[in-house]
Amino acid sequence: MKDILIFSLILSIGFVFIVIGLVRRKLLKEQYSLLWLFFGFMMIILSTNSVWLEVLAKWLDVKYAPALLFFIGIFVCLVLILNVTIVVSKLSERVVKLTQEVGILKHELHKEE
Amino acid sequence: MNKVGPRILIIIPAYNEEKSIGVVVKSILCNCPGVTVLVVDDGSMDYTALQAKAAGAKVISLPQNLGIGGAMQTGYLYAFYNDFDIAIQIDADGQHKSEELSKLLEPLKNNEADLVLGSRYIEKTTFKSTLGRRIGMVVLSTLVSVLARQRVHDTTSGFRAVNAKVIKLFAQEYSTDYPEVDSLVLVRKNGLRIKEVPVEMEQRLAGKSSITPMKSAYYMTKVSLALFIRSMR
Repeated sequence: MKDILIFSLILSIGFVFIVIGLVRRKLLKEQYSLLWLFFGFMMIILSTNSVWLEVLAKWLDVKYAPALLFFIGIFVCLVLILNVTIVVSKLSERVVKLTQEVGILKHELHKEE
Repeated sequence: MNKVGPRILIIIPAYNEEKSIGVVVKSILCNCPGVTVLVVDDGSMDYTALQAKAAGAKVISLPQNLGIGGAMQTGYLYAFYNDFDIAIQIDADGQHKSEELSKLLEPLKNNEADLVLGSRYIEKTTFKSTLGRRIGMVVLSTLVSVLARQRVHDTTSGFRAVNAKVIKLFAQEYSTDYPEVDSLVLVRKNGLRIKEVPVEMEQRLAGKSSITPMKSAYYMTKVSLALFIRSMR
């Protein structure tokens, strides 16, 4: 087993535990932890089954198999960032709605004075 | 305006417009007695809210700045909650003349349209503009005309009147970032009618346009993208 794969395995396992810990302490919502957990488990599987990685690398004509790990890692990061921007969009829409309602409510409140 | 007529709300979104807001509100109340004037103060840091109140407007002060679209939609929400029949939006900088309001109201009262747009370009008016700006306007006009399947000249005009159907629509959905252009396509997508009427506009009393030349390319790209996405929905 190549050193990078061992390193990757340790990191991935640690990562999954950190994610679970965050969810347990309610610092991360379950719904947002799913993608991260999926990512973590995928990295664990790829690190332990280096044969899969080699086969995949050969098939894609990647000379150095662990490089494929980086590629997959970066791609999944992009997906995760996209997920975050979706969440931010949803949040900002809610903030706008709340701001508008607060403005209207404040107006109604002062009218009765 | 007679007492049994439709209930009309004038919505004026304002951000740091203390210099012009009082004049604008007074001019509307003077020319159109009987209407309700609502100033949506979009988190201004100056005395916009006080000036508006002193001039006789109702004022909604947003606790934070939302941008023109968010402020505008607050007005439509208010109109929707309070069962107004007609909502008219006017810029706070004084470039829209309150004497022209009746021109916007007429098509709504005759049920010829659901949204009436006060346009600078439909006839020869005294409005002057720079070349770059004109090109942008033509591009947007073409784009909207194709996507909305209706000829629209002055797509960025913020001088418009809508009936209860459009009030309800805008209360539910309104673009926060570039509302003038986008809302036209939105209205047409919902099977509602737009009518453009020629109006005179003045040079603004105070303040700057929210669209500076620096930002216009960025603005055009964003608006075009938003329009395409809107038309795909």
